[in-house]
Amino acid sequence: MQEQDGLTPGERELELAMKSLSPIAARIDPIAAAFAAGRRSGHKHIYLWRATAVLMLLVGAGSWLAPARRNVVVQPHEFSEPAVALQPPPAAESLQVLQRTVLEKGLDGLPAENIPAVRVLRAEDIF
Amino acid sequence: MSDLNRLTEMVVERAGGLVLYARQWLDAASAEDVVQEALTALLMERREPDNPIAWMYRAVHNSAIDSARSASRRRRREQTVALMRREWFESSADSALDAQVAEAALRQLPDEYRQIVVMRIWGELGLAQIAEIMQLSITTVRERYISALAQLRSALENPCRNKMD
Repeated sequence: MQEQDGLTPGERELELAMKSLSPIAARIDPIAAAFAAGRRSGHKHIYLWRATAVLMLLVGAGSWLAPARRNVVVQPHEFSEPAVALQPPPAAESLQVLQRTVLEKGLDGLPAENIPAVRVLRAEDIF
Repeated sequence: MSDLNRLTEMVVERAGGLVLYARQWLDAASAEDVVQEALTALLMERREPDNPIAWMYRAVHNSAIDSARSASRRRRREQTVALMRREWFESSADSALDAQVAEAALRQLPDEYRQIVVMRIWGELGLAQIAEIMQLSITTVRERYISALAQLRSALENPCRNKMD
């Protein structure tokens, strides 16, 4: 039954005498307990399946939304234009620009610093 | 025989002791409800406890205390009356003791001492298991058990002083 636990013979005798008394019969229904346990376990499974379904729905929605966001962010042409815009304008002294200016506006259209200063010649400079 | 059947049979065989234990806090009907719920909880366990009977006593201990705490003052008064209404033991000529005298002697014990006696004698639990359930040291449980037996002996030898009202 159980270990002796160092009881005296008198104490053991009293234990046995007490044990000869039977507790009032308990009205426990094992079938009802098994049924309730099964039903609650079933509810647990239902909750598990519901939770899994919701999780899968969220994952699906997330994966559907994620590529669209990536496309918006990684449009290459959107970045190329600022790159072109950032290129420095051609220098005003470049040959192409000067040619175009002369054709369109004549010599007066040239920037002032590009027109060589008219040198005043004096007789002593020559001789 | 399946594990669940074996577990159920094991508990049903000890149900009397479990209900007696729950009656330390509750009336007869509530005590049976608590044991029934504990059995349901045991059957729902994924892994069988090492000692299902000790598990049941622990579950009944916790549920009975919760149930007793949540009861209203009015209900507690009703329970006190109900506790006295139904006896703890079957009256039988085979018993070595008179059921009513033994019940009166048990009722005189301090609560924790009585719990130890019930778990030890009718639950057939070892002192170590009782110590774990009651969260006491084994030494304390042993001392209280031996003290409880001495008090019981004294009460049983002088039953006239211990008659219930």
